[in-house]
Order: sequence, then C-alpha cells, then structure tokens
Amino acid sequence: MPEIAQDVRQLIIGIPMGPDADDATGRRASALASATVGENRTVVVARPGGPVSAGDGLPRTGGGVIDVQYTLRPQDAQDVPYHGVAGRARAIHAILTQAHAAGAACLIVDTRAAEPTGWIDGFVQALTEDQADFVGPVYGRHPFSSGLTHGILAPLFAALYGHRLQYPVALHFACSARLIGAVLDDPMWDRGAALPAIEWGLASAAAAASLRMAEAPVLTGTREDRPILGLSTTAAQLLGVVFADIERQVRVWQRVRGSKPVLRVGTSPEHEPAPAVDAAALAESFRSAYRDLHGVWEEVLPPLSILQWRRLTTVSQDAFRVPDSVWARTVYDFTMGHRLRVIPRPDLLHSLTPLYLAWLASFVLETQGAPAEAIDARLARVRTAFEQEKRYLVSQWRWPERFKPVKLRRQR
Amino acid sequence: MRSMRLKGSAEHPAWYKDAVIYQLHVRSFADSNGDGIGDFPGLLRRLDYLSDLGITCLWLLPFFVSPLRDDGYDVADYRQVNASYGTLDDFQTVLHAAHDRGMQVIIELALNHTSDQHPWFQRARRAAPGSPERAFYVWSDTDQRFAGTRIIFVDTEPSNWTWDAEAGAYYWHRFFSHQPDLNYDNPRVLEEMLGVVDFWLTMGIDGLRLDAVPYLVEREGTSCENLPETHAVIKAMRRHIDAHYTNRMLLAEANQLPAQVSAYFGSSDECHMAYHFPLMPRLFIGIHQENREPIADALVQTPVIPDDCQWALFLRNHDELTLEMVSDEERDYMYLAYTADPEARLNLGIRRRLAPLLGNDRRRIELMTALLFSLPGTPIIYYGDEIGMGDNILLGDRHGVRTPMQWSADVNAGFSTAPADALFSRVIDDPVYSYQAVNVAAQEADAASLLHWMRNMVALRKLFHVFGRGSLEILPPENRAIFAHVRRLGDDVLLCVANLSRVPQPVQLELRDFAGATPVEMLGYTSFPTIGATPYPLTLGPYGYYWFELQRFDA
Repeated sequence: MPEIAQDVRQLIIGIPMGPDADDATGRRASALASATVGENRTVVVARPGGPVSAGDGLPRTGGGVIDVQYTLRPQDAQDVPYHGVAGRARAIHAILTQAHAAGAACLIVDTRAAEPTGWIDGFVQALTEDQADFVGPVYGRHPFSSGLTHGILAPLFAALYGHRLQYPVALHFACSARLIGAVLDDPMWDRGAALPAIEWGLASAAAAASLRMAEAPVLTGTREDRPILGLSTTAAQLLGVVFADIERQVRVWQRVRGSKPVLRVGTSPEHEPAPAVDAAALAESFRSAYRDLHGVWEEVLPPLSILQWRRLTTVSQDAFRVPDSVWARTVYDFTMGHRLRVIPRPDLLHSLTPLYLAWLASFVLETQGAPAEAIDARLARVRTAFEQEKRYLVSQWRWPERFKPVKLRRQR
Repeated sequence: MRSMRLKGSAEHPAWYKDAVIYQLHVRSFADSNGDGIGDFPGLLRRLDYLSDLGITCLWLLPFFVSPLRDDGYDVADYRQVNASYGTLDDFQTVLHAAHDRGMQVIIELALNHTSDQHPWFQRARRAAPGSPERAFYVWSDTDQRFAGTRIIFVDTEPSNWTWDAEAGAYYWHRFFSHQPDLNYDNPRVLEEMLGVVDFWLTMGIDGLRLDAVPYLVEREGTSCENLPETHAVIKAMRRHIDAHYTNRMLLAEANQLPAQVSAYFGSSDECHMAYHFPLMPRLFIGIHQENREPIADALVQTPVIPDDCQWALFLRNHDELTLEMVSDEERDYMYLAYTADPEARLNLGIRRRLAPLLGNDRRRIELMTALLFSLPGTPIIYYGDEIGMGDNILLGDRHGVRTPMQWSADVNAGFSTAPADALFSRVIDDPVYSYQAVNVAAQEADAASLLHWMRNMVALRKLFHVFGRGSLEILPPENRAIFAHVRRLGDDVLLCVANLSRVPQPVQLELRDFAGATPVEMLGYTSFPTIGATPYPLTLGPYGYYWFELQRFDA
C-alpha cells in the first residue's frame, strides 16, 4: 500500500444525503455540524447534484462546513438500497475524495439514526491515538433485532478476513487517510453489487492490506433506523454485496484462518431489551417457504443439508434447532451457488431468506430470556462454526466440481 | 520533458510474471466462414472458452501475409494479416475483446529472416551489389563464409547458403532456404523492424515473441550465435520500446544453453522473458527414469536472472520437442524412451503432442502439468493440450502437432463446416485421440475430465503469486523418485512434492526449518499433521503430487 500523507488530527465528518432527504434530516445535519465543527474537524455534507434550494436548513460552505455534490445516476434512483439513501455510496465517495484532498481521516455519519453526541470522540480516539484505519460501530441493539448482522454478516466477515467486527455493515464507520487513499480508485465503486453497503468493501480492503481495525460505540438514541425495504430485499442486497466481495478478494480470504477480536475503544453499550420475536411465526414462515422453494434449494444445497432442513419442517418447536455447522455450510453453499450462477442470482439471493428465518427462529428459541453474556457466547459459537467450516468453502472454491447440490445445473 | 508513453492493457509492469499463457495458431483454432481455415472471427467466438479456462495471455503464432512454406514464419508483409485469417480489423476486434476479458495478447516478430517473397528480398536480389537495397540481406560469392556455423534444419537443409541465380550470389539462411536472413549490420534493417514494432505496439498488443533471436548477426570465425552485436540489436529494440510504451513484454526464443539464454535478459535491458529450453526435456527424462536428478540438475544449473525477468516454461509447443540443448546421451535416451515410431523424430527432436508422449496416461499428464505450474516461471499451455489432444506424425514436418482444435464430436471436430477435403489439415481421427473421443464439448460435460482439472489448476496457480515470483529451494530426500521443492514469497511458503514413479512411494522430508507450521493441502484444503523436529513422512500414490501451503495459525 502506498504511503499516504496524512494528518492524524484532521477529521472530516461526512454526512451522505440522498435525493429524498427531508427537512428533519437536514436539520439534524445542521445540528451535527454546529455541535462538532471546530479545530481540526470539518463537516462535509454530500447531496445529489442540482440546484440547491434555499431554506432547507443545510449548512453552507464556510465555518468549517463544506457542501459537496455528487452525481446521482438513473440506476441509483431505481435500485433503492435497503437503508433508503439512494446514491449513498457515491455520496460517500465524494466525501472521501474531500478527505483525501485534505489528507484527513473521515467519519461517516447517518443523521437519521444517531444523535450528535459525544460518541464521535470514540471514533476520533481510534483513528488518532490507536492509529486505526477502519473503525466500525458498536451498537446496543439486541441480537434479535439485528439477526442478519449477527447470524451471517459478522461471522462471515470474521471467517473470511480474521477480524471480529460486530457490524461490518453499518451506517456509521470511519476510515483513516491511509485507507481512503488506498480505496478511492478501487473498481468496487463502479460495481453495482457493492454499492448498497460499500463499507463492507472498505473494511475488507483494510483487512486485505493488513491495516488496523477498531470499533467504537455509537449511541443511536431512539431514532428509526430499521431497513426501509422488506427483509428479503434487504438480505438479498447485503448478501449480494458480500458475495461480490468474496469474488473480488479471493486471493485474500483464502489465506486467512481463525479470527481475532478487533480493538475496542470505549465501553460497549448495554444490550437494549429484547424485542418481542414470535419464533413460532418465523418457523412457520420457513415451513411455508419449504413447500415452494425446496426445488430451488435443491439446486444449491447438497443432499445432506436438504435432509436437515427438511427435518425442521416436521419437528416440534422444542426441537426446532439449526445446527451451527449446517447454517454455516448453507451460507457457504449459497456463496458457491452465487459464484457458479447455478440459478439466476436474484432468485438465489432471495431464496436464502426463509432459511435465515429458520436460523433466527432457532436462535431465538435457544436464547430467549438468556442474559446478554450467554447470548454473546452463543453468537461466538456461530462465528466459530463459520471459521471451522470455511475449509468447506475453500475446498469447493478451488475445486468447483466438489460443489454437488441435489440438482446440478451448473453454468460456468 | 518526457514524451508520453503509450500504456499497455496490463495494470502491472511485470504482469507476465503472474500470467498463464496459451499458445495458439489462428489457422488451427476455429473457422468462422467455412473455408476450412481458422480465422480471427472464429477465435473471437472462442475467447470466452479461453477466459473460462483462466488464461491471462494469448500468444498468437504468425498470422501475417506469407506464402506459408513455414507456417507463417516466412513473412512476406509484417503489417498485413494473411487474408485467410481475416483482416486487420478482425485482428483488432480480437485484441480488444481479449483485453476486455482481462487477457493480454502477444504476437510473433520473426525478425531474423523474411520469406524470399518479401518485397525487401525481391528488391535486394535485383539491386546492385553494395547498394543499400542489396544490403538488407547477407550475400556472398562463396558458400564457405561462416563455415563454423551449424545447420539447424539438418533433415532438409544441406547448407546455410543458397545460390540465387538472379542475384548471382549466395544468400545466408539459418533456417529454410526460402527464408533469407536479414542483415542487421545494415542500420536500415533495424530501422524498418522498429517501424514494424511501432505498428503493432501502437495498436495495443502487449508483447512480442522474438523468433530465432540468437542468429541476428554473423561474424567470421564464430558460431554466428549469441554474438555481442546480436545483443546490441536487442538492446536497441528494448530502448525503443521502453521510451515509447509501458507494460509491454519481449519474449526471447533462444534455443541455447541456460547461461547463453540468460544473456538475453541482459541487465534488464534486453528481453523480459526467455524460454527455459533445457528444463523441458529433463522433465520428460525425469518422469521416464522415475528419478528427480535430471530435473533438479537443470534447475540447479539455471542462472540467476534479474528480478523483473522471467523464465517461460512449457511442456510442448508448435515445434518438435527440441533436444538440441541436452547431451548426446540424453538425446539418445529421449529417442529410445519416446520415439518407438521413428517417424516421430524430426531434426534434433520429437514431433509429438503431450498426451501421446505420455502414453495418454492421465496421471502422468497431470503430474507433468503440476510440475510445470509449480516451478519458477510462467507456464505456457499449447492449444489442445488442455484436453489431451493427439497428433498425426504422418502429416510431415511439424504439421502433425498443428491440427484443427477439437471442439466437439460434430463434423470436422466442430472446427469448420467446410468439406473435409477443404480443411487446411486433416483432423485427428485415430481410434484413441479422435475428435469423437477427445473434444471440448465432451469434457465440458464431464466434471472429471482433464479440461476441468486443468481449469482448476490454472485458477489455483493464479491464486498464489508465489508460483510466478517466489524463490525455489529443492529438497534432497533419500528417495530419488520424489521431487520436492519449496517456494517462498513474503509470508507465503509452499511445499510441492511429486512422485515421478508409477508405483506408490514413501518419503521423509527434512522440514525442520518449518517446525510448527501446518501443511494444508492446497487442492482439498485439508490440514496435515503439524511439522515437527523429525523428518516429515509422506506417502504418495503412483504419479501423485501434493501442493501444500505451510501455514502458521498463530500468525
């Protein structure tokens, strides 16, 4: 990685805004700007190009606030990402470009989901005192309400890249000037599949370059930060990001074994109270989907996995458990199916959702009422399963003929 | 101020170090217009096949205007495409399509000689002795000059001189008599050739294979090979390319001893790559003798080359398996071992493809390919060898290894829709290697085929830059049927072990330097027992091989 001139004290706080940003979002951006702008800190607000209307409450150039524009492509407006900010990746690129020009680090903030309070200092500390290059967030969310992250994304990132980032996909994250310089010209910015969660690609790029990773708490307050789109579309988008990155970084993740915790700055927020989750309804969703989708799954999963998933359609709720190894292998089989295009990729990505619901039902049934430490320990076992089963993925990746779903319709 | 240099298609200047090169003849690959001759539009349609195979660089045999008395190495116009293969536009379409697929393209520069039909020669033979036109070639009133120079094509050429009645003089040729050697003592020859280089590099090609490069200049009292004046010509060409272009590559064809070949790298101021000719026959000797010594010797004797230079490794190519660079004893051994049919011999070599040479034994083909891929250098795959194509030694010269690519069991092997008697060459139709039995379509459909195996091995090799860039350390186990070596690049350490024998073999490897590391078998990603202080035991099946990553899990 080339040496990038960086001033570790300089921080740009970037606020990516989509075309639909409302007045409230604008006001929150303004508030954040006035609360954080100061010596060595600059707020950059990125908005889609076009005339700027007066009176929208957005900060203007001057006083440590920079207003930059990015080009929203027609495709960006059509493919609304799960978080609802069309063009977010292009906005982030515009912000990082500003940071790069200043030799500064950059913290990306989503003003819809976080109060502009003192938590920013944790990121600053990670970037400056701890010299971290990628800083991910730690939220106080209960795992039941962020199952995609805890059940797939975090264990997969740990298994692939060896870093136990709790939220490899998140609306808040920070990059060092060094990382920004390394990724600004990366082809991932032009790959549609990477755009809904560009931060995954930035984190994997940091891991690929053996840069330092850290985490810092984010206080999200009470704002609504749930996905804008449905679960199936959200899952399909996020897994599309991840699978595309796996193809891009094949030379990296195949060298990694095991994982290590990342540096944690500050105190982790307490788990929020567990939301009410109807595990029976989740399990029933899976059973219903099995009737419609088992033919599709047979084009992705091997006979043993199909038998184990089928068994779940008949067991009682007490026995409704998805073994960690089956879950990890299933995700890896979908990774291979995506790579080999065994069925159209959108169909493949959407068809994983009911299996995820089954995993979530199993997880909820197993950990409902358990203390936070026990839930964290249970999630650690999920992560370990992804790491142990990684050889299953590597073996098939290197020798695709070992990928043997029930119905093989391979298109290489 | 520095002038702008034209960029090549590759991102990295040393792209050739990580390349997997596929050598093909446009004429033999795919015919799009049904005239029986392969062409560029046909190649265009097959680029996805090559991309799927994992190829990163195409090496195209000569496709220029030529009377085709030496399969295109007798060039009559360096700037035009032979009409049988298409047009210059067709070539450019292929070039851009290859670049779009992330493949580089290198072409031939037959710079030692032209066809006797080239306008330069026609002009020279009619020009007055001593004139600049005449001086494009090497003339003599006697056929006794340069008497110490060996004849290369011993089966067909009695002398390196041929009398030209029109010129009233002898002209010099190191190859066929219809291929007069250019005279690089005449500065205008190099000037013209640099114009040819500019023509193709400006178009966007990524490299040039310099054909027959040791023979450019002649001097009395020498072998007329590898002379300092010849190196000066190459240096001048490299200077010209470096001044005007980036990320382009020169590949030297110098069928010489390693020390002489390495001179063609210069001090990184001549060619970027050169063939490792002595290694290839010794791989065949090693596997036949079930003894690693011939292979290890060739590697030990390989000179160190500049960091940005690279050996080109191959098992077979479009010529005979050349035995010029082995000892007389080794050559006799190769003939006895590999040419039960005397028709297979040509000049100082063997005109057979890989599969027939190895008795169509899948395990031996895999082992030899695994060796090729694991040794320091860039591997070159000859078209058709990825499916185990056969040959036809009765077709004369080297035509038997240049037959149509076997795409399917359809008529003419799917190569062409022309009537069979219109094909430029017969397809292979013997019982073992016929296109009905050996073809791409059948192997695509068979997950256990050689084609699938080859595709996976190419991908695996590409995953580890240590293969193309790493150091080499040969291990000396007691069992000589085992060839084991270590490759290192940064944190990547690979251990490659091969059983050259037809029966299972045990081996104890001295791996104390790697104590604590766990060998992870690379094809199946299976962890083997951790290496300790005592010799590491392995057992390999017949013609078996292992590639291990030596991993340290506490890293």
